[in-house]
Amino acid sequence: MHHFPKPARRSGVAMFSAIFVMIIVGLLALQFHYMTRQAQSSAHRFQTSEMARQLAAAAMEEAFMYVHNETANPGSAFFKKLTGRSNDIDGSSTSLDNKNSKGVTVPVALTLAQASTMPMGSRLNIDATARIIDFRNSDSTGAKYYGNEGVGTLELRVIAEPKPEFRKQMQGACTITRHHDYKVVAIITRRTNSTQRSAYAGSFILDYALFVRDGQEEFDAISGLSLNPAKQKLTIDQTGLTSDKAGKIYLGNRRNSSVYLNIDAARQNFIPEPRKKEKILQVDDQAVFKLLPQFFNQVRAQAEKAVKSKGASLKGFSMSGHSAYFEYKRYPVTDEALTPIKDMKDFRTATLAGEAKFNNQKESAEVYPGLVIKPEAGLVDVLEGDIRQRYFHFGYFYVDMTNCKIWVKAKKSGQSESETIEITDPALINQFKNRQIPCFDADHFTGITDNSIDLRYIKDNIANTYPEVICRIDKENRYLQNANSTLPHPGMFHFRNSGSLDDATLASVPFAQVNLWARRNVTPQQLQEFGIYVPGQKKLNLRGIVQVTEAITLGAEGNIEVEGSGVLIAPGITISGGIKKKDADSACVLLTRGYPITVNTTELVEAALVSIGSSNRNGYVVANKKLNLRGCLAADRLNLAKWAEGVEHKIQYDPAFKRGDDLYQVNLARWVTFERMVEQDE
Amino acid sequence: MKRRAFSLLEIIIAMAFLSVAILSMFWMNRASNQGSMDAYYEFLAFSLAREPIEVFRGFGYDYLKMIADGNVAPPAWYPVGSFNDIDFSLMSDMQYPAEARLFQRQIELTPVNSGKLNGMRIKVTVAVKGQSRVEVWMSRKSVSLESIVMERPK
Repeated sequence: MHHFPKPARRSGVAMFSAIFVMIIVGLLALQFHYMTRQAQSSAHRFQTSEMARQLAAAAMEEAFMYVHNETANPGSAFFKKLTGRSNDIDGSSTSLDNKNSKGVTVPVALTLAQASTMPMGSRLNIDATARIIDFRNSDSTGAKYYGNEGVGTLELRVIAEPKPEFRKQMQGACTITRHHDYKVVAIITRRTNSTQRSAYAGSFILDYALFVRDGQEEFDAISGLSLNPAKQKLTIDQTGLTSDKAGKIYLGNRRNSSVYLNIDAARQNFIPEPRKKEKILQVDDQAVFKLLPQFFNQVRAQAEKAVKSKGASLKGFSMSGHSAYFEYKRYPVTDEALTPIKDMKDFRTATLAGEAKFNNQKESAEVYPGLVIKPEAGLVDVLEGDIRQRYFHFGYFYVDMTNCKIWVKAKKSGQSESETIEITDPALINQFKNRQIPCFDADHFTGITDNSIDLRYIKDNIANTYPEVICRIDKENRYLQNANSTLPHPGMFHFRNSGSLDDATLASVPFAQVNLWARRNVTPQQLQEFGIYVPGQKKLNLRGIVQVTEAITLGAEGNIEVEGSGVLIAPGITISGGIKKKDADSACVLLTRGYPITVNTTELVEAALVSIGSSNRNGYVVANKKLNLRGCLAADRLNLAKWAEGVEHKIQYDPAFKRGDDLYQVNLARWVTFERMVEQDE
Repeated sequence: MKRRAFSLLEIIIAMAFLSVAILSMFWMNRASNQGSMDAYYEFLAFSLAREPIEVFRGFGYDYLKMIADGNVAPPAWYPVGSFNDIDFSLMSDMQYPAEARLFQRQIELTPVNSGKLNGMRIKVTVAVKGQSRVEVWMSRKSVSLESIVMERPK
């Protein structure tokens, strides 16, 4: 019987142990390998994601600059979409779930060109879009801004992700979303000359070639000299502009008051017809005796003398062969027009002084021409407010006794018939050869008139029926060739209020919506650093509204060129050189509030000069040299007395201010108000 | 009496299987090791490439243009135009991992433009220094990263 040895109890344990260890080691090795693959994958993912992020960041910067540049050009398609809030870009009222349904593509050519040179970058799609995600077209009080004005938020989104054919090999992607606030402000707003505005617009002042807000106060304070200066001449010339392109003119009168411009010789055709009227009222001999008491007394004395020499008694006297009637003529009111006409300047001065004294007003003894507004035929289209012409209405009593005979009726005592005696005194007759005796208003004039005409008699007995027989300084007619036309009072609005104002002095200042200003509190140094005013290049780059903290001087280095459209607000602006617009359709507005704008050049200035304040109301423009302005001028007060004397200042309205549509500016904030970056497609 | 045992052939076959298994594990381990180190150094190299781009982005276009035009010198830590060692001292403000010494870095600035848009292209290449252990582990000899810094409104 065979006995097989029993197998050792531990037989195979080593084998199984070895296998077990091998399995464990194998698993660890696999795990290690797996982790390694993970690390490599992570490294690859990191590289592709980082590359996508860098390209997305580059694309975001490029997209921002593209939008920034496009929004500087009002003619660009993107500008029109943004300001018009077209349906494809405006997601401000779209729910967040659907916001990606809005947006317009922004080209990122530089980034794509760079990506194409990179081995992995060329496998990426890079897309940039822009959309409006918020827009407020009313201020904090709920008052609406003008038109498309407002404050909004623009979202820029860049997606860098692998092209479909590479999505299995590349997983890195990046989406960057940024928000930039932006402002839309109107530099020029549509206005037709035939209608008034229905709401406040910051640029309303550009409707006017000349606008004097506190003109009535200034006019009254210096007895009309503000518009009829002694030594200055200001011409507003709009020759060549059609009525719809011309600038309005408002000289500041309150609704129930008026201002006037003196009529000079060159504008005597403004004086309403008839400018001469003969024989308004013919008078008989007895009326002549009443009107001319001094003459009457002389006649009476001679008559009594003649009667007495005949021993008779005076029964009366009469006159025949004379001419006597009331007439009037209308003259310009200025010294230069009246001086050549004998005595007429004195007659006007007497009338003027009498009226001033009666109305307790101060009037200059000299009368100067008023502002000149050309073309005169189109004034009815451009004048606003009650602007009147002032001329001299010369009412007089005409008498001519060249062929006159004076008869005395005498009666001797005891005789039944009267005797007629002719008085033949050439001296008595000759003093009334072809005479015009001015008829001053008896209430105004207290002096002695020529031949002591009885002004009271005229006033009480004739003027009530025939008022035109009295001399007057006429201010009843509009400053128009057709004086019967009426002129509208300008529509003005209190800040943020919708109702119109009668009193211009209460009107809101131009460009009053500070929320829409592009920059505030910029120093003159920053003005240069920001590239807004670059004296070295003689360039003024405008875009929106910029407020400067200190007074500035423009053009000290020579004539400057303006590019873009905008408003420069400063506490004092001095213009030392010419200002030329690069683009005819653009607008350059130089604005001060309570501080003067000083023009120290005879060069052409293409700008709107606006000096109108809210609390400080002493704004004015002063031209120390002959002003040659192509634009418009608006001020609290005109202050012409401070302007250079002996030269003809000229304002030509710039028709770019009446372009027929709104000119907006968009100011895109450089600051990022929100940013999100995710390394995947959202 | 005959004892049961493995024949030589069995042992040889078993050893062959075992060798294949062990060698596979060694190979896999080595490959894993290589891959890990490669990933680590690639990660480090890419980080070193990313850093100047972020810093230069902060400088802004105008300053970069001055550097590119030679009007100002670039910061000492970021020489431009040639490969330079990434060197630092323990006392300096700028600290890197110790292995950063094993790389060289080149920063290139190139102006680019399209219409009115002006930009500065930044390309950073990080290369392995010769005769360093990184050469052994890193599969690529260099990595590069690029971006653009655009001119912005002032």
